[in-house]
Amino acid sequence: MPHILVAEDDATTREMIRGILTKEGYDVSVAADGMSALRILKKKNFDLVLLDIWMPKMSGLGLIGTLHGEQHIPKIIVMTSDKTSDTVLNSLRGQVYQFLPKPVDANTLISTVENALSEDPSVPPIEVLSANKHWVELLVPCERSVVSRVQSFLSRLETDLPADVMEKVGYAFRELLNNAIEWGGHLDPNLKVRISYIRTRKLLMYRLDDPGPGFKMEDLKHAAVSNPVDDPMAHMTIREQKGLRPGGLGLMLTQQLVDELVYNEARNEVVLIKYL
Amino acid sequence: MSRKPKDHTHSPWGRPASFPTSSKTINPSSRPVAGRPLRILFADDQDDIRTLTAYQLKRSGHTVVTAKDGKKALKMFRSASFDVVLLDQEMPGMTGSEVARAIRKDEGGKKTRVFLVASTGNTSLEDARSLKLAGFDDVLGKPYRLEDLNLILSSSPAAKPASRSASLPSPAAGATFAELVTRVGGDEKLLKRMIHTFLRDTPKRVTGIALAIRRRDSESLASLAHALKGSVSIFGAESARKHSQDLQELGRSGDLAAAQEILISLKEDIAKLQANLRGYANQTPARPKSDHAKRQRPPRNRGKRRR
Repeated sequence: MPHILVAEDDATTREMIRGILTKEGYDVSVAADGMSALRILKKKNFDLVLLDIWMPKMSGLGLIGTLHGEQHIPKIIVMTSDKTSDTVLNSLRGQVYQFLPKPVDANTLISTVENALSEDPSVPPIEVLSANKHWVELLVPCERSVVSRVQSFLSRLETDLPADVMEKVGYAFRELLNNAIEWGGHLDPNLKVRISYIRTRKLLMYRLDDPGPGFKMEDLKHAAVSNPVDDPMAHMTIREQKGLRPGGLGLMLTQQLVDELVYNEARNEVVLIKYL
Repeated sequence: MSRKPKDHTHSPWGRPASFPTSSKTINPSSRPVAGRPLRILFADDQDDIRTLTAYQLKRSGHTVVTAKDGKKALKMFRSASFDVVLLDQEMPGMTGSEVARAIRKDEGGKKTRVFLVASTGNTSLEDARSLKLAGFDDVLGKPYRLEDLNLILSSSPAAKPASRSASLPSPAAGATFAELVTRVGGDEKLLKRMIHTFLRDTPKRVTGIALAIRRRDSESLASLAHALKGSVSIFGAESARKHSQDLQELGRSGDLAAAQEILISLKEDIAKLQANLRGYANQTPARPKSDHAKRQRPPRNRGKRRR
């Protein structure tokens, strides 16, 4: 049975998380501040820690710093309503597994915990090449769960933008990262995608560099993006002929959601731009 | 994307747009001008369809929870309440029909049943019959357009005005009981324990905040306001959350000039929320109007953990 520690100073939230996870069959311990959490972690090995950031005595980030260099460091999911970029960047640097915005709900909590605990332990960690609020650069393994993890951090850097812009950029980024991991990296966790997030006063830019050889547009007949103007549904017929299930709208939708979508010649690097 | 006029029998791709025997749901006159927000569980194993459909449904104002296979869908169904469950037929592990049968079995002879919709590429009459037998209320032919889906959603019982009025959120005093039960995964007892904890801790926090303002103790103010913000936001009390957030920020900036005024508004919000939560804490388990919020959960096998 996986052991989970919930470090949270608000008793109501603590009770909620403990109640939900205990019912799911996990062994749950709780701590009301950073110091108690540290004491409990020293006594017993945990698989996962759900960590609040603002706690008395020692903050969540302080706790992460203290754990650095320990023999057994559990996976850490940071739960916070905090929107400051420093919290996000320090969490990334501290090898936090995922960000979980508050208030949490049972469905999101259960699926996030399940994903974190079911990940193959041989999957390499996300490498942080730059963690500056204008420039974040990461090297991520080609593994599906990475998409929601990376997005849980980067989307927190965009909370000053209007909700619809965040949603559009989020969708487009997810689509491109999924493509990079699946088509470029063939879901091989030993291969890496390099992600750059660049934010200036006037624009938000993502650049994704996948480990694959790239692709040709003519090989994408099964995707809506290749459809001739007079036949907007042509890809549906091709998908049927190829025995593929309905779909293929991702790239086309992505083009419509952002201002610029530019590929390099080989098409294994892509840049997405949203003007602000 | 260009929109063609609605054809009742065929989608733009030359396939039936909807279930041939369910003419009631494809009658355009039944489509509401503005749909009511629904709680929708949507399962499809194909990433792009799942993301696109969820994106569109959320934009229409619905609350959407997605699952990538049948087993996850069933699990989510059992852990929260939904108005509509939309299930793809061909999913690994457990097909849409298998999930539908399990849902109907869970519901037993209940009066309020969730509205079950199958999405499938096979829309022959025979397929339709077997889907009805599995417990589906309606069928959506794949590939579908947002209009097709909206028509079906608008025909669900929860989309009708009378049945939802009891559970619409009241922003001043927080989320409804049914919404909170959903948030904690369907566990009423847990929710009531949380309410008791909140009612026990909050007066101390509010007093502490008042004291911190009087003593010009910015650090304590920021910390107490932050903790209070966490618990009021669980209960969906938006105005209280906003005022706690404001106090937290004043505390962090060290400028407490406006704090007293915000505290007065915060106290009003808290009083309303407390009154509401006291009412919830006294709710009896039988609540006909939000019957589907409390599910009969099958016994769990606690010893056997999946990884």
